[in-house]
Amino acid sequence: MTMTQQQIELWSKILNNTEPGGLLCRAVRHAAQSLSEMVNQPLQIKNLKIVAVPLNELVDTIYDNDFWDHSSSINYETETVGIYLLVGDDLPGQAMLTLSVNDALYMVDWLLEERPGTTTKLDSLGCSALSEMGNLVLSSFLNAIAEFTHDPLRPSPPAMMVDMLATVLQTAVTLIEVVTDELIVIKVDFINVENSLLIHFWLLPDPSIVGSPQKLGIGKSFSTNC
Amino acid sequence: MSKILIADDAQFIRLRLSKLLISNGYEIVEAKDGEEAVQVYREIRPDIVLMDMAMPRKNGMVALHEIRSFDPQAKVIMLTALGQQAIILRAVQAGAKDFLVKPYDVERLLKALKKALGTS
Repeated sequence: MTMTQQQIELWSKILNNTEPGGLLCRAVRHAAQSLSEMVNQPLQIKNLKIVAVPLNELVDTIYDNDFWDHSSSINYETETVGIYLLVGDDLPGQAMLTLSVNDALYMVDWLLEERPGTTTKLDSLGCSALSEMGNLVLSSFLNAIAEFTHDPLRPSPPAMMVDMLATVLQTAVTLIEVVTDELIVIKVDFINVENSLLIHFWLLPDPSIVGSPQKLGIGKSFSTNC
Repeated sequence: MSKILIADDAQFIRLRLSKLLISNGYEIVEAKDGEEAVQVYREIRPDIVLMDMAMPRKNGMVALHEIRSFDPQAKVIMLTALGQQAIILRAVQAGAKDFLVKPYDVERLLKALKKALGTS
């Protein structure tokens, strides 16, 4: 089997094994568990969704249909921290964590074991803590997938940006090689018990490898509970 | 006092580990990439290295190889978010004394250090 076939097959297995005991949910739970241990807070997994999105309408499609949890305080104009990573090896694609700047400041306090409200702006230490959080979440997700593949899966070093959510998402898309009209987007929310912290975890399979969503058996949209 | 070299590109991890280890009576030196880790090791010969895997300039595996070829007795504990069987196996084959997966458990980390130092 060629490298590309292997990569397509792995994404296909992940995207088509979405039941609670399936590969995707197992990996998402693993990522959430690691994040929960890192911040020493229980976290819930909500709104695991997969959608096929027209490439030039990403933000509108994601925000305007039932893909988005409109009961949350975050909308596409919310000032957001995005932690962006690439995956290579057998699972080519992009991953991103997004959270509002307010939540990011609280997250830095938890990570640095400071009293909530201590951090009021993102300095280099805060950015390092958030980047490490991105690295940890994606690495934990990949660790669970690697139990299945037995081959190493590694993320790139994280990059961070702060802007409106729409701009953060659009920036991720501009880095994608345009070879198809549609893109597969996987999103899951990690929420703390008090509902005061919301982190979106995004995965975008590389369309230049996996091809169109239809090729992987992905229809318009899909959601599940892990 | 045992001297620990923390090699990690994440400032946050270096700070968090330093705080923990200093409060447990260890002396700390830091390196922010694999190349610096090798250089610092040659200069000060720490008792143990806590080595991240993914680092700029030289990754943790390359640094582990170089440190072990300079000092075959070097005690290097890998500390990484990548807890995958294939990666763990390679590190152990390359001479890593132990392998801890982030987010690390404090007790497990302190135990691994004591074990590597022969003080447990």
